[in-house]
Amino acid sequence: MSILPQYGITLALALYAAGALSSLVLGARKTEGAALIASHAFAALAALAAFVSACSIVVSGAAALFDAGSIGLMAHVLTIRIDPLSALFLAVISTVVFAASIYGIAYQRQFLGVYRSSGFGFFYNVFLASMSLVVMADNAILFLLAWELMAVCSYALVVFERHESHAVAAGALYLLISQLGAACLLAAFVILYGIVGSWDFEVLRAHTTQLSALAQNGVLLLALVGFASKAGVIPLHIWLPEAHPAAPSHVSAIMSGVMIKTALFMIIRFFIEFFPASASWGLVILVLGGISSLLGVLYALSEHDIKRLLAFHSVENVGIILLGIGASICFFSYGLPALGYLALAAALYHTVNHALFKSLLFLSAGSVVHSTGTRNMEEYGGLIRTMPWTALFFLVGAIAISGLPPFNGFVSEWLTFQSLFAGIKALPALGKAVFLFGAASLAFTGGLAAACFVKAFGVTFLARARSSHASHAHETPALMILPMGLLALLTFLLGVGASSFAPILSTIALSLRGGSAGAPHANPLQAITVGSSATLSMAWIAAALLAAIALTYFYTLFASKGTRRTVSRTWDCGYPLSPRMEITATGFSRSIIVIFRGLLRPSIQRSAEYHDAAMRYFAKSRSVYLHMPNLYRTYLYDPAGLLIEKGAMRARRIQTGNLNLYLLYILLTIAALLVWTIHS
Amino acid sequence: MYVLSFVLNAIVVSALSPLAVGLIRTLKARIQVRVGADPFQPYRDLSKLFRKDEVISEDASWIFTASPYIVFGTTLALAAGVPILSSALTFAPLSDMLVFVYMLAVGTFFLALSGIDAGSGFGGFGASREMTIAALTEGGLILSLAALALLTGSSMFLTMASVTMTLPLAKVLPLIIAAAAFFIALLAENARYPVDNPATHLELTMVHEAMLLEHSGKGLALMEWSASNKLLIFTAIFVNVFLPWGSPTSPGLAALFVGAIWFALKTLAVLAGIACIESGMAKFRIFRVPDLLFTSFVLSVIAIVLTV
Repeated sequence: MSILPQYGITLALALYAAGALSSLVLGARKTEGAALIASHAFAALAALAAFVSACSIVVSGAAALFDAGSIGLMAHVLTIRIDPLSALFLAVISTVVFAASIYGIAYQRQFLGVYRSSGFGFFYNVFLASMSLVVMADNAILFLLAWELMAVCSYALVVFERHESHAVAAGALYLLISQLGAACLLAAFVILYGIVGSWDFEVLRAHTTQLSALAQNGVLLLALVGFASKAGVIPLHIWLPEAHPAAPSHVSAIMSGVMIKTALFMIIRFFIEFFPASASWGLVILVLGGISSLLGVLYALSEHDIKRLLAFHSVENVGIILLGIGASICFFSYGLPALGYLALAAALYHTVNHALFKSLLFLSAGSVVHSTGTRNMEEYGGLIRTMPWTALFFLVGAIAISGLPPFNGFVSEWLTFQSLFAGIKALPALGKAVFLFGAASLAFTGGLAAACFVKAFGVTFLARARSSHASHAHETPALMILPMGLLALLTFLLGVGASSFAPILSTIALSLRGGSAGAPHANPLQAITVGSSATLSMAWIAAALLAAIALTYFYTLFASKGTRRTVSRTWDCGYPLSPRMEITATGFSRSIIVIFRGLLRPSIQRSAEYHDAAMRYFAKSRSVYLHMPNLYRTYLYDPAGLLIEKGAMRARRIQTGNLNLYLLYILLTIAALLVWTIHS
Repeated sequence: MYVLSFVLNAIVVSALSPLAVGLIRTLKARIQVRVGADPFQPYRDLSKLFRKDEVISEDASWIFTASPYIVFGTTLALAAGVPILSSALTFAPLSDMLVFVYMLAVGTFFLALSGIDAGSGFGGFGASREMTIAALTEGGLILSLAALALLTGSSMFLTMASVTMTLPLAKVLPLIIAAAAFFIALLAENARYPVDNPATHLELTMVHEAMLLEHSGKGLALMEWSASNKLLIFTAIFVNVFLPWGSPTSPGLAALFVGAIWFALKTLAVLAGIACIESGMAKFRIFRVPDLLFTSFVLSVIAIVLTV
């Protein structure tokens, strides 16, 4: 085993610590600018170190195992194990963190003098370090500590703009759901400890077969609820569209791009590695994935707040990844390992892709918010002229997330589709039905996502500025543009270079279950699918597309020789055009909302004011209020909250304030305990 | 072979697609007891547009000027992967059904963006409607092709075509249902009745035309041409992949000749069918279109259920 990973990881954690401490040391108001730069620069360096060590593990294929706390009480608790799967997630986290931290140096300056940056730098670095620890922990205690630290620190980052009431409310909701999930995880690990007698993942992995069916399903249910609440799976997603947009944009990028992926990482660990794959859980996860992807994109369509729109797309993409994971679990349990590895590779590929293009989109949306001062898409328009680079990078992200070739989103959607089709072919009846549901929801999701990003890009960057915010926008500094460029480049390379990247993921998937039985094709792009093999060659597709466009260009040059191009006004029907005549974000998605009104339940209120009561043809002013209700709050969370409150009111009755009664309680408790001890 | 099939398919489709549109128009005119223009009129229209000066909106960006090339380029790439004259002459990397569907979406994506770009209300609403229809068509389109993929054991058009021909009679029913689902998707994707009226410029009803309003000269020519390319490509899939009887699988010259004749006959039949539909029924109100598209989706699901 190479020594590089161990030193690299230790160095990375030390650099995160240095970032956190330097931010506190330089915390005085005079040196806050320096604190800001130091905290982000250390984070970027730490990410670089972690990335290099993660890559070395992926290349060598051997897991790195070391005990970080071989002193005193913490011995055998701070155990870190980085197998290829951890290394993949660590590499993805580090890539996004690197780009976001450099971006943050310039982005965070706007808050200097408004909010304290020193605390931000501290929590930022601790958050990043704990997130890296989550995917490296080899012990339940270390894992739970890191998991909670990640939740609490990200809460601190969400409420960074503490004078904004919506940010504080979003933070509270986030903390609540987060703790609910963590409680479930704690219960799951305690049950496991009670039966197996160890916190060590290594021991747990070897002894899960000891569990009875009831205990096993109980643990898996608790784990699923715990992780699904962090991943933002519907209906546990309600915190996500509130909390992600409330944080500063580079933190949104990290939260949406990689933090929610740690939950998916643990779902893979629990359902595929720790426990024997069970078909019924696989089908449950598939159904959850299908629902999340379809509803997530519909909610995104009904948004006109650019960051909330992107946050809902995270719900959608987590759904797509869960389709892959669920399919993989089913295949493993039905004894079709080759297809299982294919589906897992699809899920991993989409995880990497989503991390890259979602953080790219959040960073470019952050630049737009930074430059216009508003998150409301209705006030944008025409930004492609003032912010050409940001527009280009947003376009790259939009194409990639819509799953259009030759960018990376297409490759993973292709792999997911192929594994779902294979399931429809190969599985028994119930499996066929669920896989068909998955394929259908993925088909509609793809189309709706494209519609949503035509809206997001078109309304934000094209046509004329719709407010003075937008007409006074300016391009952001190079420190914000370059990280976006890096992410856009990676998005493109993972699309065109899919045939080099996919085999790596295949190897990682193989390593997860010993990798001996039923080894699939080394390259998942030559997928074993509905019978014969299907091949995806992204390089050829990109080349063909480029050649076709070049051909078109030169033919047109030849065919239209001698013609001129004049610039003139848009046809206005004889009435001067104003920005108010352009389509708005709400108008754009209106028809889709009306078609899906059964699911979305929009409420529309119209009111009109007339010049005089008798003449009702020409209104003085008309207004339309389109409201999208939060169905989960109304029908799930609020009733649940009410129920808890009622229960608490009932339980309150035993607290009368009478001392004698309390002594009686104590006596009864002691008596009950005595009886219990004697009997057992 | 790759380069040959790419170039050949791109040329055949681009050269014949205006004729396909012209044939529908002539047939429609005859059914409606009009004289109408001859089927070669679209060629004259295109060559006239290519020689005209172009007017660009001052509000438009590079997206608007680049879109015609991208949209037309994607139709050329689409043509390369589809068996036109012979299933042996297809560009294999683009012959996968999912590649086809998503490559199609690339064109739609940029078409819709160029509609918004000029900042006219018509373009914006055209883009909104186009994306709505495209999103809802995707279910029927992907699943009808998936039904065929499950039926034939391959997701590549070139293999599908040769396997469909040898299917036992029992498997023909799901094939026909999937073909019906695909035909609905064909009408929707190509802005034909009852989803869209290709001849209208009425602001309340137009979808595809609304996005093209600001284009002129060579940009408009490319957009119109790519729309007719798309129609011919969809027809080719319908007649050569869903109903491939007659189309040859070997690349020999004699086989190609026979293939060309069969292809011409079957395409003519489909175009006549479209002309009849367009003369026989009214365009749907936009909020009734989803019913039709969900019908296509449900038909595909039935086809899949009957297959597996």
